[in-house]
Amino acid sequence: MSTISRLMLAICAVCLASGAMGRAGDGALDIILSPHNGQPSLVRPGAAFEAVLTKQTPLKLAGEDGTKTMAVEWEARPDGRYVATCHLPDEIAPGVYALEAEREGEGERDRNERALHVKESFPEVYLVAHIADPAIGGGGDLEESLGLFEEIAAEIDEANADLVLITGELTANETEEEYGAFLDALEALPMPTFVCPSLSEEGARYFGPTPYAFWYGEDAYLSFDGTATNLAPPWEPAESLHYRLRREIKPARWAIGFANRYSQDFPMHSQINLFVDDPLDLLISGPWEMELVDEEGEEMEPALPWGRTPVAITPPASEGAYRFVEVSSSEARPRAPESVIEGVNDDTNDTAED
Amino acid sequence: MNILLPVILSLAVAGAEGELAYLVGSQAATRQVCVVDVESGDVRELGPGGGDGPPVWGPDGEWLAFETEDGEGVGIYVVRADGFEGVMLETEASHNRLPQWAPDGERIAYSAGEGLARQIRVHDRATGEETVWGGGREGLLTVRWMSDDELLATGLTGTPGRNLSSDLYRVTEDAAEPIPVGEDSEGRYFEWAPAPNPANPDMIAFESNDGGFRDIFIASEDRGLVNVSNHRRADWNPAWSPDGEWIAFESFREERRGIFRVYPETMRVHEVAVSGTYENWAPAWAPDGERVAFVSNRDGAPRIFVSGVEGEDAEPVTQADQPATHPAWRPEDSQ
Repeated sequence: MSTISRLMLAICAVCLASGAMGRAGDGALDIILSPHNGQPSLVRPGAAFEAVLTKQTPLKLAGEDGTKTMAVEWEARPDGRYVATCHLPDEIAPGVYALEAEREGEGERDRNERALHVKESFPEVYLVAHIADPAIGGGGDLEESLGLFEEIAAEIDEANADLVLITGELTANETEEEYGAFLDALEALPMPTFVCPSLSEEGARYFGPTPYAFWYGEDAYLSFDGTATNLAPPWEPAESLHYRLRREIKPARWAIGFANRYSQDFPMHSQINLFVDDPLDLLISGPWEMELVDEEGEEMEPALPWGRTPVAITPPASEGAYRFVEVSSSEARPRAPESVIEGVNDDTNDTAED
Repeated sequence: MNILLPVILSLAVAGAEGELAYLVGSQAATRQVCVVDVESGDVRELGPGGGDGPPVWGPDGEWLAFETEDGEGVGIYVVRADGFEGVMLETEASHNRLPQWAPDGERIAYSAGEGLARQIRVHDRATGEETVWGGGREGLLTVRWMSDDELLATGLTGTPGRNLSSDLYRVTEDAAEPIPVGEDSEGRYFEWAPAPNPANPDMIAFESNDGGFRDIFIASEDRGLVNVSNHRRADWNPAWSPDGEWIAFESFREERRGIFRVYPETMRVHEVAVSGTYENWAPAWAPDGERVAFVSNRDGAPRIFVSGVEGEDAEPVTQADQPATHPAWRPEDSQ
């Protein structure tokens, strides 16, 4: 074999082992930008879901009983992305599916695990778990932080939570190794997991941009970066997206926001929209850095400065904490924070809802 | 920063003239103020480029001011339109935002401080002195000049976390007094984005949720409070035309954020830049009132376009691969 042939083979091998494989390679999103295991689609049999891709590549679902093909309608967007409207067969079995994109013979292949949760129905009463700032790799000890996360995941799984929201600093140093460990750890959570990373290019590379919204039965959830300022990416259109997403979820029984945290520099029209003019029913957030004081200068319970959206602030998972929220037709009620570390369960940054 | 001024590109708009300042960059930390000559398409870089904010022209069009990141804080940067003599104003607070030039072109007002405890301060460029306005009242978040002696501000009322709302305030050096904009309106509705009419500064356009939906209102002594946009979808960010006859504003009435204009006398609304598939925002009237600059993401990233006031002859004035926002026309007298 000539040197050039060997070089070409090596290049092909590298391509197959990394970018072309997406989640199977360096772990970052590749051809399929959504859905994925940090922003899955929740659908009933026979319904449709949307996938966003960088290339118009044939799609199929992979589940326990093999692969399923779907009827797909394609639309090209001005930003160069492709939107695939995928119609599920009526007879598809409920369960969890991976979404695969593959053009045979051209080396274009990608697979997003746990991208689709097919459900016959959604419960009226259910349990949401919130994990804030897992910061995998924090303290310079990947194994320790991972162990803490896995303990939290085990307790959430044991409690039969229906849905998990993960916000904030997913990794401490945003390395490929830390993101890989976090993605592996997500597999311990069999229920749908929705991720709202703190503003970072790496976070978006692995879990896509915020804001986004999804429905869980009659309820809707809006994920947003509460620290994004007017001048932060994706520029001012973020305000438009907040408005449009809020309108889309207006018919929901409960409209619940979840954010990495909240800053008073969050775009003002977004604040007016989400907290004042059309207030969310609950905001679930990671820890805030700001403090509020009353007229006498006394420290107040964390609350949004304006509007009437109640807030549940969950202490960081890097300290062993997490929280459940009970959702029913009468309320979306945050429970007191829990902790996998003995003796720690109702720390600071609690909520007025508790 | 007075050493650059490279010509970056040429994207001319035939038959148009004037200059637009704007922000370039996809990341907040690297955004930079630039100026484009609309006719020739030539661009010059003006700002330090390390996190610049929206540019504001001085009344004579010879100077610009904008906020920019300054170490751990945010400072006010003032620079000549040719890019020379750039200087950071000396300020007491570490964070200073939203500069506005006084009609005399010598003083600059801005919102100083962090969080909600912000004050209005005025910097006199002739003396270098910074003065606290509004009698030191905190919670004054935005500022516009109504005259040489009076400012229009958005001020907070109530207690954070309990009943905080916003009202319009008339601010002098010694005091900040709420402007009544309807019966028992104080602290009741959330008012934002006030803009004094350039032909009659006592006539104020602003947005409010008075009436249930966010709409554009006008408050004036002779007409009282009038909802001039009145739509079930949100209407934002009023901008008066230079002659004070029209108001451009942003609205979601066609689902995507689009630009409309209303003639307050009849409250008739006209489209300027509207689409059901992409966004148009940040309308800026040209000094002649015949054209409007705005931002559109019709090509993906935000890009600045110039069109007639009915949206006709829309042409891009910035490149498709350089995210550009916050257009501001250079005042006519200087050109």
